[in-house]
Amino acid sequence: MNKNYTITAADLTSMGIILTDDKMTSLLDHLNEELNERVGTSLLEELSDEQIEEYNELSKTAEGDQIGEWLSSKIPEFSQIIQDEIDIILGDIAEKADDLSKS
Amino acid sequence: MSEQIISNTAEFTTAESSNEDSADINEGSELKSAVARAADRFSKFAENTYEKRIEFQNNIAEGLETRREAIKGSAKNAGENATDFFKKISEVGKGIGLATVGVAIMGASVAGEKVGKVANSAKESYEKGKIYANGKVESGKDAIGGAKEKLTEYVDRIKADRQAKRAEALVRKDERKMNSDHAEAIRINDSMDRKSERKMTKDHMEAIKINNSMDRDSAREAKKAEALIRKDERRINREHAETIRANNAKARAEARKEKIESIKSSAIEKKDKLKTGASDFSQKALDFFNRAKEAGKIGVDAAKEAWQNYEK
Repeated sequence: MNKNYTITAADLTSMGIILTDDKMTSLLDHLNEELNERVGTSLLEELSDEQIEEYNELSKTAEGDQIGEWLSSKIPEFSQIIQDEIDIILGDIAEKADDLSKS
Repeated sequence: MSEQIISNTAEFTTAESSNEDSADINEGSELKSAVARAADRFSKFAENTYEKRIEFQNNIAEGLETRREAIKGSAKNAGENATDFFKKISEVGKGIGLATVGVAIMGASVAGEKVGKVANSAKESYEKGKIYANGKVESGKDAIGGAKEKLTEYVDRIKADRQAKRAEALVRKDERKMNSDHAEAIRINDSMDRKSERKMTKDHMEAIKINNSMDRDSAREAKKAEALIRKDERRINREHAETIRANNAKARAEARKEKIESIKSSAIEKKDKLKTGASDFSQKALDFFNRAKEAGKIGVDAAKEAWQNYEK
């Protein structure tokens, strides 16, 4: 599944999270990995059993953004689901911003 | 005083924490107070970074749009745009220091102001600092603190906005899950209904089959029972007939025996009779013979006599 979404340093600094470059990079890697997993889970939950089988087969041979396009064709709320997961994880970050800044 | 471009929070923070020259300041005189120095540096900082702030502000706006496009649109185009954006952020961020991004955003967002206004803000801070210049280093801190308060306020606003969006997103996510669970429950119920129906049909067909089989078995059993009954009847009849024959034979044998006995008795009787008869006959014959004998004798005598007479 291609990543068409990413949490950036700007997202974090706008919430007052100030870190050194290496810590920022490490945090962003962790957050984006978490985001990707949440998005993947949420999208797959929208598929029927038959569609999941179809997805498994497609994932073996898909190139580029074939999977993303296939998912967006099968899931009516594809874009909204991704945006919701981004908003949720950014909300979680906002809640813990002070702790993250101290790290 | 050499110009110093503040490039990180540490420098900015220490700028107002110095206790040096807390004495009164005369406008236009050499900037000796910490407040004045800080205000002046801030002004220059604002002026020097204004252009970068505007560019950064625009990049952020563009980045948000890019991100929206990245989510909605094709990955390839969005990815390229996102990559460009991230590169710009990185360059700008390195130029002005990430620590002061918030300040830069604040400065630009509070006003979209031009350099002059920002400079005036710094000048206002300087004026405030001058009022409290008599031994109150905190006055300098107040001026800087104001800017920091606005930065904090901005950050808090961003955080509150993020948390509000998270709440909305969680509500939508819960609704989707409920709908999905409901659809799954319906699907399972339908599946169970169809499965139950198939099972009931199968059980019904099985029951019919068993019933038919039982009917056939019952019919066979009934026929078998009837056949056995008939067989028994025949056996009984045979035995009865046999008994009758046996009885008849016995009777005949008895009868025969009796007859034989009878015959034997009869024969004996006859014999006896014969014997008696023979005896009678014999007696009679004897009598006859005797008579005959007598008669014969008589005759003989007569004959003799006659002879005798002849001879004479």
